[in-house]
Amino acid sequence: MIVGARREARAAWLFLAPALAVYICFALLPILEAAGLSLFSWNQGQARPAWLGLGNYAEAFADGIFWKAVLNNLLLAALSVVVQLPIALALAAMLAGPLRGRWLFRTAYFAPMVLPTVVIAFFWRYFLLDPADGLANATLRAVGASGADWLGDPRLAFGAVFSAVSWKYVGFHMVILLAGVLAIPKGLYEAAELDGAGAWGRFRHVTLPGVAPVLGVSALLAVIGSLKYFDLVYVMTAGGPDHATELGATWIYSVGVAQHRVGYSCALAVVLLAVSLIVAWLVMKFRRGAQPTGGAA
Amino acid sequence: MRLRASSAAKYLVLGAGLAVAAYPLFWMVSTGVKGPEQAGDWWGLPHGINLDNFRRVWSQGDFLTWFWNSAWITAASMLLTVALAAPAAWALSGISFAGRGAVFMLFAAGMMVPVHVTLIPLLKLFQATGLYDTRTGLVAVYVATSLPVAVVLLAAFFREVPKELREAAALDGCGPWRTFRSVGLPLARPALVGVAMITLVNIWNEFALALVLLQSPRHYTLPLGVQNLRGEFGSDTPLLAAALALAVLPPLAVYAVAQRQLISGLTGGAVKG
Repeated sequence: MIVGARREARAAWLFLAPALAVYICFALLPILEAAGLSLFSWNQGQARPAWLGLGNYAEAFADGIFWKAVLNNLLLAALSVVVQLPIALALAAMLAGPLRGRWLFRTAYFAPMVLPTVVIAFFWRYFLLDPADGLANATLRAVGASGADWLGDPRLAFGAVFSAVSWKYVGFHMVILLAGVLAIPKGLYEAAELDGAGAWGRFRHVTLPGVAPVLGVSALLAVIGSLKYFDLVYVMTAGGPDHATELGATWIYSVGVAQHRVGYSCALAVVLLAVSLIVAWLVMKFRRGAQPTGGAA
Repeated sequence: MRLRASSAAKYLVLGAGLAVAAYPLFWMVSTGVKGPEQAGDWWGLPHGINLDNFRRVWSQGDFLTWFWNSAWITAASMLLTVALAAPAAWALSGISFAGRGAVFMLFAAGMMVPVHVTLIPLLKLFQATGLYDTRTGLVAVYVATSLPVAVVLLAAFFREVPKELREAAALDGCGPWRTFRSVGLPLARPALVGVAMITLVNIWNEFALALVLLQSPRHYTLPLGVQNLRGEFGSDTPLLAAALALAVLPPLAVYAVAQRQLISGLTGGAVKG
């Protein structure tokens, strides 16, 4: 029996070996390497990394742009929770009631999640928000208002980018919340109705408490996703203008790829990862067994 | 009477939401079919259906190259991910051995790691090993980054396989590999297809890794190509719209046939299929 167990264990490791090999080489080792490189200075024209100790971290803590970027990440997280979730919940509550075509609405609302982010960003940047003949300005001018340079004006850019992010993720949260609302026992609604509760009363006293745990999951997914957001913002503004839409990830990309400061960009990545891990730990704590994959902004 | 009014309001709000969600897609297609006589009229409806833009996108410049690069890279990554994840998930869910929990955690933790942490080290690794600017290198990274989700989803599925089935196979003299082949794989076919579809959509849409690890336009994936679309097609709006419409076609087609699996996979299991 012992021999059998040992043979089983050997088989298990053989089953795991190919997946582990690829995973370790191309996913885990680079993380360790990021931690290692963060202790070195390795800039353009420098053949070999030079030991620096915690110098990069000291620079990171004094890097105003990086902290502005992290604040933008947190702002994105907060706005996502405060703006997207109420819209998503309202849509979910409406869809959960007796309704024809629920399937169609659900399918359409979630569809932005499967589109390439670059396509969304391209559409927003060059067509919807184009200062010359974009739809936003064309509409504004048609009603007599003047247009704006949505992505070029530092006061407007963050909001403009957030509108695109919201367009993508409201449906995502709506689908999660809809599953939560549909799981609320119908009997609770009937009981509330017997007690004389109107539509708002039923929402306030049955739907909201019933969906609260799922709302928590949605909020945490939004926060985690916001802390590592990159694609949409990079293609729409590359973090500009004047760092108005800079996020941790876009700044790490600028420092590491455009400025060729490998060690320093790794230090920034480690700091941002530390923040993400704290949030990940919170996710585990709030909802055991939940394994959010991509996250959402 | 009040009920009917509130129900009409509900359909109005939901319909408006649907229009907002679907509009960009509708615009890409309806602008893509506009002929030259509608130049400058980017926000009205098309007067007729002119497929010239789609033909030109397909035959002119690098779009086709990018499309096939994406198709090749996505197909290879998807097949390898499923082929590696299935036995790994089987071992993690059905065979008890020391270290099983730790290995599972290792994979599960991979889902939390943001891509920007590994971007720069991967760039350095690729430059040092000759993988930089190769499609093969990108496939390797895509498999590695797709494995956590695939392993976790498949392991959850394999855990539902009744123990008796495995034991019966073992009594019949099947070794671990034969048990996996003859019991695990056939049962898992729907789950394998679901994981393959999730991987396909994620990789087709992936941008950050391709941006950093590829350099030559002839190696570009479609998202990189889309980013440089104006360099390729100038500011010819209908042509650009047609290109965007073609770029979203494959993931939308997958969404049409595997909606349940995609929703469940992209919400990380927060919504059961």
